[in-house]
Amino acid sequence: MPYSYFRKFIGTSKYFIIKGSKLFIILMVNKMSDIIQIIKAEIIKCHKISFGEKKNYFTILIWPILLFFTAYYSYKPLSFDSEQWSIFTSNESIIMFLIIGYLTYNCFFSLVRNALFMRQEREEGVLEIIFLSPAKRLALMYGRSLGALIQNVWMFCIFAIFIIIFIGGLEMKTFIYFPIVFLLICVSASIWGGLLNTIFLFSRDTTIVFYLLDEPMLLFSGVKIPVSIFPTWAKVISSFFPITYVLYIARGLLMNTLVAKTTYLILLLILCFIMFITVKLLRIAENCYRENGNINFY
Amino acid sequence: MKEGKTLLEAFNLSKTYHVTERKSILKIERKDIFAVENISLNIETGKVIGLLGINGAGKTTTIKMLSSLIKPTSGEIIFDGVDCIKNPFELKKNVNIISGGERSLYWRLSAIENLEYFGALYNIPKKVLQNRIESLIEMTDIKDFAKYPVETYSKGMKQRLQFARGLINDPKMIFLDEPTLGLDVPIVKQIHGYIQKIVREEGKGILLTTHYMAEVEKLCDYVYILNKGKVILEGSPSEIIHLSQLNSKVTITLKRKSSFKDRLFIINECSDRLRETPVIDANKHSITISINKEKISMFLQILINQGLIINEIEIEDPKLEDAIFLFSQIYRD
Repeated sequence: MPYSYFRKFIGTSKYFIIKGSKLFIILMVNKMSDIIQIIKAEIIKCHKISFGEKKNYFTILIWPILLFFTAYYSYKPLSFDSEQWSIFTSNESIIMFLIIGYLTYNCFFSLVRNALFMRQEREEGVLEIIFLSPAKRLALMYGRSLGALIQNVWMFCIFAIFIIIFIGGLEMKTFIYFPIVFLLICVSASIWGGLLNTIFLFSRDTTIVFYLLDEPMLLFSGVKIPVSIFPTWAKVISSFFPITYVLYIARGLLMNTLVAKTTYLILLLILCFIMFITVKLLRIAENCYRENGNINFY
Repeated sequence: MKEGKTLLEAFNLSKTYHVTERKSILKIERKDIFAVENISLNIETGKVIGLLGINGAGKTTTIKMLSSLIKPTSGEIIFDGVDCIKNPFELKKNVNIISGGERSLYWRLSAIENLEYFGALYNIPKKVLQNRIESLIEMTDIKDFAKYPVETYSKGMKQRLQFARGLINDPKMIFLDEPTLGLDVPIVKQIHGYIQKIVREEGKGILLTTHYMAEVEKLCDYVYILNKGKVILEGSPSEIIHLSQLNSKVTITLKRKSSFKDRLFIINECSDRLRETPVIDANKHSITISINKEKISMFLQILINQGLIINEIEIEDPKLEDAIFLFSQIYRD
């Protein structure tokens, strides 16, 4: 008798576990498809607004290319005998170092540009309409970040051609690592962009945030100067930017330099921390808006 | 036609904004601004509810509270049986705002792209969204320009697109915040047509704020009048006019010119019995008097008793605008 009860109990439990799991999967799939729909809509919108005209595809390349040449020709007359400059083993390595630096920086910067667009949306009253909807706020923030994805893919392709022309070809290994590096940059930049978008929700005067985050990022994260030559205080600043670790890894994979395993771990931890902060700030921003009454002007 | 089911109920809503005022370089003073105090209102399906008041009366704050955009300091909002202060996202799924003016749209995107974007925010399945976009574009008559960027649209077209945007999630309730602001008469008529269609045919509940009283008289079933954040009066437009006890303007045209004796008699009788003095234009054979509607028959009786033959009677009822002006004067202090 107790055995039959036990079997019945197991059978019922099994039934509920299977049904529950199915329901959970359906719910998760539905939730994910909702999030994907919002992210997709944001990507399409950002892309259409940024690239309304075809010529924009080419004009966005002018600035990074000019920056690249400026840095390259600044380095050219110098000699890099010191151990701190060990990454510069040849002329090609300088080109590679700078191309990876500027490419990564531009991916991060394109997200800053998208975040800056929020100011315009706030003034035009669109942000209020967006916040009126039940759309997942986090999906909106990351969707905005990923809005620069198409631009980044385009830039990556152009830079890849650039590398091939300047260096005269690429190793097979580099070709394999290229999509991995691209994915790493996109994910890291999107998480960074999500944080910027959220910060920009707090104030319409975003210039200060831009100067505080963007310029130091360009200077201290090793985009054009290796972090190894920085004094300690500058190294401390550089350690706060996720792009610093992305650049270590990207250069390590594409330039065959050694990357410490802790770099991957630190990057992962920083990205998790940024996501956590983003979620918290987003909640505070919406509460602040609901208390103060006007997303357009608070 | 679905009509009369309570959709949204608000009880004793209040909103206080905490602001800071800089008195000097070192001194900052905190101040509380009472934007809305103890407002209770009811919105039903298939009805247009008007929210009226002069600038700063608290209309926008009320709309923002009711649409979940801001949190009331105190009070309750119940939408379809759900407490919307605790569950604002339940309300967000079922409401939308249509504002007047050219804002709240992406000007670099086309009408279709705008509607696709705003539709995606409500997680509407792709096929349903496409069908809805088609029917809304058809309804708002922007089909020929649907693929052009909004920046090329006229003001009226942008407003019609706003209307389509506001209906993209098929909301049960819509907040119309001065939807005909600065529009030409034909466009206003079109917008009124859309409002009547979605209310009468689709049974949606509407809360309308406007400064155009003719619009209120034409569209609203019930009206709340706000003054300094408080509801000072509520009722149907005709009830409010009635409450104001404003006089109707009655103009009588006589068949023949009245004599001096007739005129004297009419003035005396009206002053004694109606407590009003008529204006008599002897050349045009007309007599004009401003009296309460209920006294019109008494006025006609005076003329008939004097043996005057009436050719034409024109009655101009008091306007809602006059009634609201009167009440705002009474509650000014």
